[in-house]
Amino acid sequence: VGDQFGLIDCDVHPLVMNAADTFPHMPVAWRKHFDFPEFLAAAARVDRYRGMQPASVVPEPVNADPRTLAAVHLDSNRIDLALLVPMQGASLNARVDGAASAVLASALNGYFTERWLEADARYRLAACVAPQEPKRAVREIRQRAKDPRVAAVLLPLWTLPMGSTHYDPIYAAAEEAGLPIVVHPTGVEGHYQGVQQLGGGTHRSVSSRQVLLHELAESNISSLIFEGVFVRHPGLRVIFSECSFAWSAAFIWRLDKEARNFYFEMPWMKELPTSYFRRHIRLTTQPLGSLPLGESAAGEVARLAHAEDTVMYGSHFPLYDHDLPDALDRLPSALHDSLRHGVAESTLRMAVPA
Amino acid sequence: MTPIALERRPVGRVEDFTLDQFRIFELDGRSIGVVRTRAGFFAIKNTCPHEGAPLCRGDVRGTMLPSSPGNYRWGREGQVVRCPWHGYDFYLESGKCVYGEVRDRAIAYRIEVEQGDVFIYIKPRRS
Repeated sequence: VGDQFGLIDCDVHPLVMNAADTFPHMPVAWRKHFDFPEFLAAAARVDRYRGMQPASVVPEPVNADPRTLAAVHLDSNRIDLALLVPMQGASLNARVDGAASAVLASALNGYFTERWLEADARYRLAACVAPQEPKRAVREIRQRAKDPRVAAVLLPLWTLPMGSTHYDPIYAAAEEAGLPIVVHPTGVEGHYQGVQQLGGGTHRSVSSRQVLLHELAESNISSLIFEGVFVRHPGLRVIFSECSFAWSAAFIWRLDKEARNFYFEMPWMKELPTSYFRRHIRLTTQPLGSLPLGESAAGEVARLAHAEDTVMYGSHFPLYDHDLPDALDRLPSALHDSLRHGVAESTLRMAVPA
Repeated sequence: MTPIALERRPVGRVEDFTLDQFRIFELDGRSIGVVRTRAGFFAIKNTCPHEGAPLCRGDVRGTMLPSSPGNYRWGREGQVVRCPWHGYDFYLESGKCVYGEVRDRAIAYRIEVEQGDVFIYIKPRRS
């Protein structure tokens, strides 16, 4: 580890165009369970990956094929390593059937391993697990961790806040394998039974929901820190994607303040929340669009947020609001090494086990 | 530097003190609370180092001991006073803030009981 990679993109979204393509990666009985038109039609709703183009113009989104995505994103933007975060995996939180979620998670992992990791050496996978079924998730993590190209675990945001002991077996398995947990909002938050709510309830507009995505990070980071997850799992790291970071300075000040006022509610805390935040929490950059232009203002926000320890580049490619690497120019050049590869190298599982 | 000799002042008999009830003494212009708790006798200045609240109007209590996540352990009963204004806890023995959230210490005084008489040790201050 060192300067092996110049630019790591921690938030790239591959796609399964046809859900039936995952069938070879699940037991026959489960294929039969899923093989009906309603499931396949629902799973095939991939329009948002076409950008604003209709299917007649763009028949297949760029993220349906590993070579196409490598050409249009990795080659064009000189990306040395890309963490694949399958949104169809993150969306497994919307299923009430935990066993089915676990089977689909495993099938997605099998599909992306075979189709994507084999296609280009620059790909790494965040292997997804079913949050509803910790025992099955542990088995999946142990199995996938044998592949050195698996660099993280994708944990869909489920009903219970992330500090719950429900997740302890999942965290223990990830910690043991040296894999960070990745969390990525899906846009269904507040819409289904089983998924987390945004603060204040369900909003009418997509714009509101987009603006409030970081609330999911704030809510779960509070829960993780105050409920002692990082005391129970001192080696665990948790990446929050698509929440950017400018909110985090004010947030951790408040965590510290309340930890001082209510220490008797959490006598297991050995350090102030800021310390846990800097050591265990990671945030990806996108969306950077609202960051003030100009080195000094953005630099001050980054400094107060401890961005040098916690923030890593994530493009969210190819969603319509993705950030190409030049978005990082909004941040001070002194931070570019840590943003472009340093934090990712010390967070993702990079080492290849012998 | 010559250490200033502490003066010993009587503050009453043991039976004058109701359990966990501070009695306030004005000694050389200082307001000092003396209390008998199940952990012994303590004397502490009646001023919170945080924002100057009358600390001895707070409750005498214990505190949560360090523990593993999801478990609570209560201890140090009678060794802690909670400030009535902002709820910060201080050890009666040392004046130290329990969780360190207030950096300055409350001022604690040495106290002794001899044959039922209670004495406090303070630096004399002449006006």
